[in-house]
Amino acid sequence: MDNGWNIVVCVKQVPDADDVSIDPDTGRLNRSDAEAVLNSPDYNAIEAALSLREAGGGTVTALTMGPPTAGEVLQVAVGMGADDGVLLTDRAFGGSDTWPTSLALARAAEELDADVVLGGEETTDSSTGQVPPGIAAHNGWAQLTYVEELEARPEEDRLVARRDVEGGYERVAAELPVVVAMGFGENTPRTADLHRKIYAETEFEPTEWDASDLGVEDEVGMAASPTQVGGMATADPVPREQSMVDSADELAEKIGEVR
Amino acid sequence: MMAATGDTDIDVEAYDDVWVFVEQHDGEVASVAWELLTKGRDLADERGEDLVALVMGEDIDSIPEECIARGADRVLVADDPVFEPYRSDPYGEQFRYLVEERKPAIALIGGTHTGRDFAGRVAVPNHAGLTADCTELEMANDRYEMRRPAFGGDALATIICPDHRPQMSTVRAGVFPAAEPDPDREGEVIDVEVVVEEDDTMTEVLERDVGDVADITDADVVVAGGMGTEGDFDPLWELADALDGTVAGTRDAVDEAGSNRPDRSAKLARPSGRSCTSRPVSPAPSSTSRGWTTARR
Ligand SMILES: Cc1cc2nc3c(=O)[nH]c(=O)nc-3n(C[C@H](O)[C@H](O)[C@H](O)COP(=O)(O)OP(=O)(O)OC[C@H]3O[C@@H](n4cnc5c(N)ncnc54)[C@H](O)[C@@H]3O)c2cc1C
Ligand SMILES: Nc1ncnc2c1ncn2[C@@H]1O[C@H](COP(=O)(O)O)[C@@H](O)[C@H]1O
Repeated sequence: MDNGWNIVVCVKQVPDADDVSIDPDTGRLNRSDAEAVLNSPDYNAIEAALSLREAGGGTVTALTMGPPTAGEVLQVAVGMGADDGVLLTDRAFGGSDTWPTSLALARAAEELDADVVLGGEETTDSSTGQVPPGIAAHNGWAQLTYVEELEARPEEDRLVARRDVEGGYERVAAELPVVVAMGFGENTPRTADLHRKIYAETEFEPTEWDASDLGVEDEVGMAASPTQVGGMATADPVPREQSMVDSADELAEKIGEVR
Repeated sequence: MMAATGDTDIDVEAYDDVWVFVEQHDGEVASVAWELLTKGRDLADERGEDLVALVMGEDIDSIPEECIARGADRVLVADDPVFEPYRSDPYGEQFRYLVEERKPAIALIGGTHTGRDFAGRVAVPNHAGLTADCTELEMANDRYEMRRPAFGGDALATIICPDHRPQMSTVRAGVFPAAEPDPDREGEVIDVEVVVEEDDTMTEVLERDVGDVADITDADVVVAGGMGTEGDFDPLWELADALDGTVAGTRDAVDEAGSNRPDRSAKLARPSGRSCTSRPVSPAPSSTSRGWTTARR
């Protein structure tokens, strides 16, 4: 690979987790008040993508699926240093669960001739963590999830990851193309360079693809989604009280009373 | 809410039985698998179906018997070096084959890192529905309903899977209790055909290091510290001793505790993505394991 890897980083726009609330009277989500932001774990994915490019050259393309406003998260990625951005937008995608979402992203990654696709561990809105493995499965590519660290081995056409596993870690080498889900908080995302940020917000225009550009118009949306939301209930808030205690033993005793 | 989509060729009637993926590493079974066998037993009884345990690995000795003692009617064993240690690609391919051959209605998978890595991969080729982090699973309204916290725990969503099979769920450790094994139970152990070859795999595990870190999903009591500890974990250890618990902390807090931590608290504990995303949902016991994964022992 002379010109380095084609690195694609998947970013999702989500309602700001701190802003989402439930209306106590109607029991409905006040989703619309929430500001739309870049899913916070995706900053770690962008950082990992940019570091891979620094190590071995190549390009970083940010990829998102969402309504037209989702272009904003591509601007964030481009501001941090991504070379380009692709927005998958089409009403046909609405209502997609993780199966069609990962299909659309998988087809786009193929279209972009990706060597490495990066994503976050999970999102702050529906937090399934199923999209990165789904992308890998749709394309029959290798996958590496809960990644702490990456090491590029372009001479072997492989990527090596240190993965967090229960009770320790493992190091796994994967053949390209590979899909990586970065663990949340595993690196320190850089801040955007001011000039780059201005470019991202004023001049940068993402490439836009719809479902038929990807050839998936019959395989996305609600109809192609095996899961459906059958209802939503508000969770009862936990009653809270507070008091001061003087020692660990006293605290343990209090905890024992409510356990 | 949405009516049947009707665009699938899947004959849902052709699928039955409840499967549990029994995650094991080097012969050590993840405790959540026993919890899921207990839950799966109840579901299978209610549905009038069998409970099937699925074990993949190499030289799996006593695990199938234990699965039967813990409720399985049948244990499918895929025993081959290609399955040790775990890798998503051979596991995924083998699972796809077994689902196609045997058509389970429901599949339960532990919400560990391995379980989520596996579930996300295997749901796609079978076009199965996969619901993450379920805290309630039940037969209700003539269908299988999976409930999971959403939006940081403020809401509980009911997820259904009307037209696709299997209906898969991941469940975190500690959500459901595990029943005591009954050594007198009887069941059948079936060695299944292994359809994956090492040459077809795309990944290689270079190194695996587990053991010096306590898995806090196995702990009943976790005393956790954040940045408010300002590097001093001693009070946490005191409380943990009083409660017979394990100490954990967020990454930043543990890093800060760094050099001045006493011997035994060279116990790194790390947050996972959940810590920023979800608050506990009452009364889901899964909240104990959300946001904190491991504490180094
Ligand atoms: C209350 C509720 C519960 C739901 N539960 C389920 C469920 O259990 N099972 C199910 O299949 N679907 C479920 N869905 C649908 C699911 O939210 C959507 O498919 C969602 O768009 C993708 O899933 P996620 O946010 O969980 O992604 P995750 O898999 O958690 O995301 C991991 C990473 O994948 C990438 N990624 C994810 N989505 C995009 C995107 N649109 N564009 C670019 N990159 C992306 C990002 O890098 C992200 O960090 C649910 C929806 C709601 C509203
Ligand atoms: N117009 C759209 N274009 C592209 N993706 C969309 C669009 N509307 C919703 N989505 C995506 O479809 C998935 C399900 O969203 P929703 O329809 O809000 O349940 C999410 O990943 C959304 O970002």
